[in-house]
Amino acid sequence: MEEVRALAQAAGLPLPQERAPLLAASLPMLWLGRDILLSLHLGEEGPAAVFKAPATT
Amino acid sequence: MKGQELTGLTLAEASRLMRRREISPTELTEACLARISTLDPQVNAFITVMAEEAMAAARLLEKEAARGEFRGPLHGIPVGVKDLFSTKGFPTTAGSPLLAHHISEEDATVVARLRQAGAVVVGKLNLHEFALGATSKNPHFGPVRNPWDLSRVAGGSSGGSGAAVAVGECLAALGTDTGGSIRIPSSLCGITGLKPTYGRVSLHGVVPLSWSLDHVGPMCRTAEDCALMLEVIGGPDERDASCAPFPVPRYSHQLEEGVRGLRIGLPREHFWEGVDGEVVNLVRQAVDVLAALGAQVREVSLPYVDVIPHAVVSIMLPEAAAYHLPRLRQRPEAYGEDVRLRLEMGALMPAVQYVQAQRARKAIVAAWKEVFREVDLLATPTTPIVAPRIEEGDLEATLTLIRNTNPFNLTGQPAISVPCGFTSAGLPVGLQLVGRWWEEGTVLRAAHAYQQATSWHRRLPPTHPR
Repeated sequence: MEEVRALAQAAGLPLPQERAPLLAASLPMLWLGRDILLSLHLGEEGPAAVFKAPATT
Repeated sequence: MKGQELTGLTLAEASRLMRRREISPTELTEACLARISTLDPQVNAFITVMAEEAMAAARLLEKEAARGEFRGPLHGIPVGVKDLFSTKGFPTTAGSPLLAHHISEEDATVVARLRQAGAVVVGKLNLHEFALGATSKNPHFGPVRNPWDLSRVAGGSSGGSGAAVAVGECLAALGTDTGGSIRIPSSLCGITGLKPTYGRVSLHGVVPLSWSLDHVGPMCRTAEDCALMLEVIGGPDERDASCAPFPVPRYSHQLEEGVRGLRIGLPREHFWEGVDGEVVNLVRQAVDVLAALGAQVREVSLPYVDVIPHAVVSIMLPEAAAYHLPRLRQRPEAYGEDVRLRLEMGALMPAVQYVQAQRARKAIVAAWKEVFREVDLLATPTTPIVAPRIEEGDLEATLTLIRNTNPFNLTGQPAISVPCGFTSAGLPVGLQLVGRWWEEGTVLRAAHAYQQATSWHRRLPPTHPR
């Protein structure tokens, strides 16, 4: 719960007492995703090309 | 022709009749507006009905038609637009009270293109609040109800678009799709919806959900209608940097090429897991129809498929939070509970997770391009389940509904949902066909071939008193 409050404060989000448990219950799903994504072997390339439309079809 | 017969027409049929002067723009627009008056109190597809403006536009188009001037296939066709698209002089609410009094000063690029092509905008369509969900259970404007069973959701986030087309309140609609929001309501409402390739259609003037996952596309009764709509709304737009710089092909001219020789891949993993048995059977039968028409069907494996839901969430939520954070800080209580929670999750996500998800996305696209050397299309169920009941939990329903659609928001590939049958409870099921990047023509021609061989897309919901 403390982790959630600290994160919300850092983001400047108002987090009433009664909402903290709801958000805390949802965060493990995010952290699971983070750990799965970090476990991928993606080499040294960045993501930039994702946003570029191709020059030709 | 009676009003109910008029509103049961496809866009292409209405267009042909319009050309022959057998129907007129005012007649068709009046029929759709009457349909809205009769049915929308039940279905709740519209947030704003633009009756006066629509009739004025129809009268102008009628005068042009009387002089033999036709702007194209959309001349005099009533369309609805999801209430995320700016529409000059009218509110664009995004399904939220936060924007309820925001009057748009100009049309979104795609709305302007529709009007230029002769379409008659009849109103703004209900949706999941800020498009951040797949049920369209809007806490501010009420839920969009599924025309096949009013106790069920229409799907989302473009639920109003799906329901309005299904019941003939308009002949075509615009939707947006960030995780499946065109294809899911199309599947659940028994219509045809196309998410084009990322960059094919301008996002200018559209309230964003997630800039790098958002797509705009048509929702209609048939693939032919989607082709006609995409020819109008697609193409370069200097006001949207994500929009590709090349012109749009004439998809409607490729529709009759059939599927003979096309290689259709059935994914081995992910897309069939947890899918309702009746949905599996109907989608497999649809693939058999395509095979009987000459397509070659084979199984394929798609690398990284289990990573995709995490990558989508890790991109969508922080991008949405970046857009909403100022309002979320000032007026959090103005958001619905589900949307507020998702935005809060996005605001708390570490930046490294977002960047890693975008890096994963690049690797996934590269790997799937290899798969698409072996096949021309993928075929999957659009959604693992049929329309859930309105009282069912939103989070569970959303996670299930987006499972088969959101991979193609991440990869940016074109994907269509076509009706492929009905369950024993009378609820529609959708077949999803996915193509190579920029090859909407192949997707549309396969969908058209399927619809020429079947009649599921012709079936109208019971709320359509025909």
